[in-house]
Amino acid sequence: MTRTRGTVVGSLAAAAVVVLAGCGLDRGGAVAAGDRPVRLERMSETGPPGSLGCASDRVLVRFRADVPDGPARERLRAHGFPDAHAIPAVRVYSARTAPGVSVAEALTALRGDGAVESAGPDPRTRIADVPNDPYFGAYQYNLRNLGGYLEIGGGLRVRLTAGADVKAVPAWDEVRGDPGVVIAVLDTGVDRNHPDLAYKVVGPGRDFVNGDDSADDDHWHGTHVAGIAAADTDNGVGIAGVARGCRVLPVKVVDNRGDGYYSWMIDGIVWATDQGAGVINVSLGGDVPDPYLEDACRYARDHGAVVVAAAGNSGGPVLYPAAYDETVLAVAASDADDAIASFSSFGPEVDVAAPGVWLLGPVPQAYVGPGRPPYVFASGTSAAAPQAAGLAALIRSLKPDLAPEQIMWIIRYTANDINAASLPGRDDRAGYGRINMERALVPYIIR
Amino acid sequence: MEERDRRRRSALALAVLALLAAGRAEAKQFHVTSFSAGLAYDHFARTVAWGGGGPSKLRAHAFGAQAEVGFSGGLVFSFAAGFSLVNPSRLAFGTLPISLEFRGANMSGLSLAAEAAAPVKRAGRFEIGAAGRIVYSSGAARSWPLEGFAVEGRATGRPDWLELSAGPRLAYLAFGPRIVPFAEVSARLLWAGFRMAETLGELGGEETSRVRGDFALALALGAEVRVGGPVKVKVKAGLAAGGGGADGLFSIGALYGF
Repeated sequence: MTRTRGTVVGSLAAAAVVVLAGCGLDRGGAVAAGDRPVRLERMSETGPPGSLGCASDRVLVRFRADVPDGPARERLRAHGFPDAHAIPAVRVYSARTAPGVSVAEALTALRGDGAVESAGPDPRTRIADVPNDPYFGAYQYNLRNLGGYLEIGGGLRVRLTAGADVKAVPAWDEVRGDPGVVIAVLDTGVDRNHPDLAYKVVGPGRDFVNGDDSADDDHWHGTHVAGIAAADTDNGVGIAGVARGCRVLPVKVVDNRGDGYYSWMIDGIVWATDQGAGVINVSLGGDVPDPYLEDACRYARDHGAVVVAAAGNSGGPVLYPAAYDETVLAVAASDADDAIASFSSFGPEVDVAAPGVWLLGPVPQAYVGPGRPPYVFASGTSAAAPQAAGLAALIRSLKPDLAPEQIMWIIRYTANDINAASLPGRDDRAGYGRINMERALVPYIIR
Repeated sequence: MEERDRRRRSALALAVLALLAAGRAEAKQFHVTSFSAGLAYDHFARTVAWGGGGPSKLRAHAFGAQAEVGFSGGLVFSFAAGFSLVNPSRLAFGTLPISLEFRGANMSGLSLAAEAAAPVKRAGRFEIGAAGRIVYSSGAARSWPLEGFAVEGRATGRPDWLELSAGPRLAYLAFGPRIVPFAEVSARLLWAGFRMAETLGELGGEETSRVRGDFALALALGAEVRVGGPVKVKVKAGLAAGGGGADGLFSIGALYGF
């Protein structure tokens, strides 16, 4: 995050930036403060990535070849399966267990039947619907972490722990985002010509730095943040965004060096709220509290907008506005191993964490130069916050009647307590834990 | 919509027929001729669409005490009260802060039922009559823990349902009073509600999923059998066809006449 002048905003939360280049990836220049080593040594014990488990009320049964259909069905009825469905071509019956009978009990009974050749649980499936964005599978570990390594380029290789992600894919089966839900990105502006954002930006936005109606990005940070939150997804280009169906409202409140004033941020929050933004992402902040800034955050909340802000990259106290506990969701940064990044600011105001180390996002072509893919890896709570903002937008898409406070509580309560071993429960480093889109959006099953 | 109206009109016609029959019988005389009491069990399954969602099965059981009062002219009123068990399945509660999907579980409750039956016309060995019935079940609340979240939570569900049925009954009297087989056609309308409340830390909410007047046409075969002395057994089984498909129904009761 960038430091400030006077009562200035700062903190474009980038701890380090690496440019994506062609097939290989080479290292770019580091930006801003907070560049600290990232722990990546530990490996995870989690099971096979993407495992869906088995149905809790279904089994598959194969009878011996000499058992005709009639007797087979009679035996199934006797075992408590009244509605078995036969698949004769493979000699299998699909049967639902009776209420109150577990799959384990049912299988024990079936396997004890001499007429049964084999019986097993019915594994779950899911449509193989992952985005076709070319960088999704290889680089966006934050959305779906299958383990292995993240090849950043320039000799930099990061070990990934399977499951250390925000569980985006199962959540997208539930909701992909309503185009009517807009995420305001208060930042350096957004590159509206970027191929991953051109169809996602609702308009030219507002530039409070230069006092005009064109919030173009003359830096890179705002475009990166906007892409993480809501890049065009399944478009065969670049990356996938968290709130893949929602749109982006650019609001420029920091200049081309990443500096700004609270007044610009206050203006931006109020303007975005008045434009109907459902979520406001603020991947920046300042060191000092300010009642007017707090009032702006309250104004946004009271008018239905969820304000999400980066905690900061100094490893010190949480920045403002993230530190406004009642009105702003403060987001810390975790890494590809589900450990909290060493640079991530901490304090009682931290609500949740999201991956914020080596996040790939779009940037203006001018930033990387001609001939290179307009994407960079960057680290910081700036990259973590837009994932929580994207989740807030998806919740709002699914449940438009919820109040901002309710959306914030859903995000908190459904997080994974990633540092439970050392700090069980809510703590000042990870808050309630790393956000979990699946738990927040996919229905909880009662039986 | 037209189909729905047509079904409603059919149901109304059958109900009116049943009521007219009961009224006609009542108009003749009004003397109590018999009183019996006993136990009864009722079951029906119904494929319904909760809240306009996809089809799901609702299975209901009611077991309780029954009293039957017979009047001159053949009019019979019966009342039942007891326990009910209902198992709705696949209900989605998508507006709660944490969406819930209820995959089915037995929910207990109390049920009340009233039935009226009356003969309308006798033709040789056959007797045409009409019957109408109303059953209401008020479910008891049941709770489930919400696990895996940062704070403890609970979901509490409570189902209620009401079924109205009415239609003609054709009885065969050739076997005398000891065995009276009958066939019954009835229009059945079902209303049901499943209220789910959720609490999770600072979050809370309540949502009710409903079935509003789901229509089915049922055909049932049954018999009233005097098994000895004052004991009478009534048994009935059939199929009900509605928008969601065909489902089964069954009832049996044993009554002791005083």
